[in-house]
Amino acid sequence: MNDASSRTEPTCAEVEQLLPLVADGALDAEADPVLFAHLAQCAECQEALARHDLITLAIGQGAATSAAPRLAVIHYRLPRMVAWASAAALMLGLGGTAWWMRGAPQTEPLVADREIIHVTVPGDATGNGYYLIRDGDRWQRVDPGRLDGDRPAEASATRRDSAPVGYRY
Amino acid sequence: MSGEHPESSPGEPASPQPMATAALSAEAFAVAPSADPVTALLAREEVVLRRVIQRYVRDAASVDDVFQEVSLKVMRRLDSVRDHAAVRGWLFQLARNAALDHLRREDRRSALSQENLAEHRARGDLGRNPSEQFLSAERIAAVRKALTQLPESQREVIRLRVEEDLDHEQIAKRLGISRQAVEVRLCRGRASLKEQLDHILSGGL
Repeated sequence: MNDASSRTEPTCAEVEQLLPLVADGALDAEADPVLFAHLAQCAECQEALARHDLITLAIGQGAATSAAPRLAVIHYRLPRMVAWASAAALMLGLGGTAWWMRGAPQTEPLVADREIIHVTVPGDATGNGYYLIRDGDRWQRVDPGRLDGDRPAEASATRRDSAPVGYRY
Repeated sequence: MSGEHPESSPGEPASPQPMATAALSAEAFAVAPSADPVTALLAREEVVLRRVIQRYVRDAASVDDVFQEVSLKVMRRLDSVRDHAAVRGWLFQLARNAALDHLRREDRRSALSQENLAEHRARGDLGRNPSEQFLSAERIAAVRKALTQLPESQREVIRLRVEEDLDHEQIAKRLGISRQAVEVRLCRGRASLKEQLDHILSGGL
């Protein structure tokens, strides 16, 4: 009666091989009606194709750059007097740009929405220092014992004695 | 041969079916002979088509919109389908394409960013939680991660295909390779991406 009855029905495994072409737009119902007849009535293959389509859409969306907040982590080793002075200034709410950073050598200009500055103070018994976190214009001091989850402290542990290093995550 | 067309719904596992029994006749659809075959077809296939759409589009109002678009297309183009056995496959393609177009339009309208979350919630796009959305932030991140693990040769053809919408011939020219090479890389790349995405989304890292 018609051509379709003379063709073997594809198995799901065979259909799976061809799904990348379907997702790519290289194969349509006119080109392969038998394939699409299977798709029309097979939940697993529809699900698999939907996942291929998810990939296509996600990549397409990824093309538009979204403004993810960038984080810069800077590790400094400060002379004790400077460390105390800056901490005091911050606690007095004098916020703003970290003045002690002016003139400090930078490997590259920092453009970040957030910064975490790890300050270690020579002679500090614990040796952990503390963190100054800038979020936009707001500054906050955090002591390591109060940090949860991933701590920059892990990354900085080996760099405490080296020259100031700035890098982005 | 009975007038009833044996069928299995997409919610059940695939079972072997006799091919080519979907006749575009009122008797096969068990509706009144005077019924318009297009209306009859849509009435009969509506549940199936909505299920296809719902794989991609989650909120009820949008599913309705997309189904309406599909119905219009069926009315306009059913004549072009010559082989009766191909009707269901053709309908599936229509439903899938309409759902994808809807998602792309939604995408252009507003990226899924934090600022738009409130808007999406108000529209009911998010369901009970954002990860129920087909194109959720979590899934997009998973795809981006899988992409970084592809060989560069596969990644670049997929990027050109998806981001610049080049066809296989154009990609071949751009990269100085054969069209067949483009297609092989696309196929392998997409297959790898899916495998990795399946792994990431099922909890593996």
